[in-house]
Amino acid sequence: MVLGAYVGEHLWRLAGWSPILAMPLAALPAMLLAVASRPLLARVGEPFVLRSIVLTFGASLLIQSGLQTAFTADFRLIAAPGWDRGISLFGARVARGRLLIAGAALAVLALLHLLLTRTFFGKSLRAVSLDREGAALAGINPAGVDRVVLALGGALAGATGPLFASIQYVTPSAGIGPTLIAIVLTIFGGVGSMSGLLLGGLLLGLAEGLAAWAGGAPWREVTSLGLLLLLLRWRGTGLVGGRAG
Amino acid sequence: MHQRRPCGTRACLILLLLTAGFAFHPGAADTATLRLGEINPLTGRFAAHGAALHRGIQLAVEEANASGTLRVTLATRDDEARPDRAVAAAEELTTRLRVAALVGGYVDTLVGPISEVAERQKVPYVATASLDERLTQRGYRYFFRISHLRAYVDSMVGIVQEVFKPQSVAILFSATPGASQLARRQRERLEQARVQVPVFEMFTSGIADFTPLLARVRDSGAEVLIADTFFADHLVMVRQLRALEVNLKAFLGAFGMEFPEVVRDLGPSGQFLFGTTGWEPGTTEPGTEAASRAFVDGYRRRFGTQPPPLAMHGYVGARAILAAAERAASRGREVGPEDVRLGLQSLDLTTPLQRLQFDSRGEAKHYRRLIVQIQGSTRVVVYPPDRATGKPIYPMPPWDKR
Repeated sequence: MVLGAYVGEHLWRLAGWSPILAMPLAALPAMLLAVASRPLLARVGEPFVLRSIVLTFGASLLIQSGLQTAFTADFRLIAAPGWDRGISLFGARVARGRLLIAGAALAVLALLHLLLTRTFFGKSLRAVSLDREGAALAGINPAGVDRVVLALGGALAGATGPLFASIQYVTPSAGIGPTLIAIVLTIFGGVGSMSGLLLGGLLLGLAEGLAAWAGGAPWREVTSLGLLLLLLRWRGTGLVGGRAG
Repeated sequence: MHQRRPCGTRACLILLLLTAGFAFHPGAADTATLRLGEINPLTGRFAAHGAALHRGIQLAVEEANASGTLRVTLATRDDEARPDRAVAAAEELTTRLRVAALVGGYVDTLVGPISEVAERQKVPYVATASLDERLTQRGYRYFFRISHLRAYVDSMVGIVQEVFKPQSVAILFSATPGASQLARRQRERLEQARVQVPVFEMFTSGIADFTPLLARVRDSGAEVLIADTFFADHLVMVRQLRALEVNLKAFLGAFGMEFPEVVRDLGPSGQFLFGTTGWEPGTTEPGTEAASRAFVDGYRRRFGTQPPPLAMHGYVGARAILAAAERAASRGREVGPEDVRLGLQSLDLTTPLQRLQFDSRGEAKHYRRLIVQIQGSTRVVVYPPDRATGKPIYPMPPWDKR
């Protein structure tokens, strides 16, 4: 995502590209990087989840150092003209840029949803995710699906970069905060559920905002983590996740 | 099998001659050496600040080496803006590399742990950016710093009381020790002067959404917003102030408002914002004009850009140690930690930033902060009156008039 943010920032600063216009180009290097990591991940033994987390954490440190060498540690922000202007929406003031970002994110999610549910590739992907060996017996190439999933994940992260850089400053280490939020959201919404992620993101964002407005900034984290704990106590698989076990 | 001799006769002879040559080289014996250790956040969330400090230190060391009175070796370590890394770096520099002094540091969560190691190892440490009052109340003999909290409080509360004269002020502050203490001192002083502080909120630096806090500021009717936080938070906060159309009479930022990116990235939204600075090119303490010009020229030659104000803090921190070491250097030997400590205690140095003397607690006696306002593409010093280069534009025009 941070790599995509730097690409988007350069396109905006040097050529005046809007962050939304920059999304496809910003997706490209992140996608290539994700595909390049495939041989590394393929060599990871069991326990796969733990080892792959350690490996990707190490890789993220390397990427951070590389980004710092390439782009320096300066703060970068895409200050797109007019994006910091507010408009009234149902009686509330909302930044125009944030609305555009929300619209772009929803459009990408809708496309992803269509890809996963309406195409042969989407069905193959879900089949491999459910039963790898069964999918292989049905003629699906799991390794090929893995490659495309990695590319797709990298592209989505990269495309997010310019949007992120237009509301938050970017440094080589700027990805840590969003990664933690993504982990919390994945647990909150339910692993593997897109609708759960969307619903969870909206609920957590609203709860955090209201808590900070009513009680002050320290209540923001208390509220989101408190809600997460309550939800896990009530429903271990997250908001929309399947039944555990 | 043929076995290689560890040192052939001819090679040993050449080595001997070279060693003898160096030993009898005029000046080798009488040029004292100083091993200096630097710890700064060169990566991580304060990397831009650390890089600015580092360049200032680097310039001071290179100037000292070029002058020939002292041979300085600089060992630089990156603390990654993490206290545990800062401690590890301080341990390594003081015990393994045996440096005679430490310099650098940005924010007290990093400076504090480094100062603990320095005191334990009896190595003087000059912190380049530190505010926490507790650090100089511990009775430490090896801790010195070139900035202090009182200068920030005096300048920021001064302009609010004397120029803005509002009924109420909102204070938002980052959850670092220095920023929290600064905010508390500001509130005390403002309330003593019967100025209301209806919003007094701490937040974690680096958050992406200030909207709930800014809505509280708007709902409280505060006329002035003091933001005791860092450069990047100002960028995000000001853009959201505009989106919410929170029309304040003044926005006053504590740290990092002097970064050129504030003008570049905020564009019209950055106009008329107030901030603090210790020094700016062209804005110098009387009596330091020549030194200030020489610093700007030297920095431009070395790095090809205009020096950011924080680079001056790095430069002055290193210059203090080098000046302290120069006394011992006249005796022509390796300068040790005690030499530097004694030199720092009795230092009286004119630097491009200010006259530098440390009190018994290690605080810089003459440190001052100035208030600047962004007017067009420049920052104009508007307070205190004896250093002002222009008049403040107050109140700031509403957002729809910019």
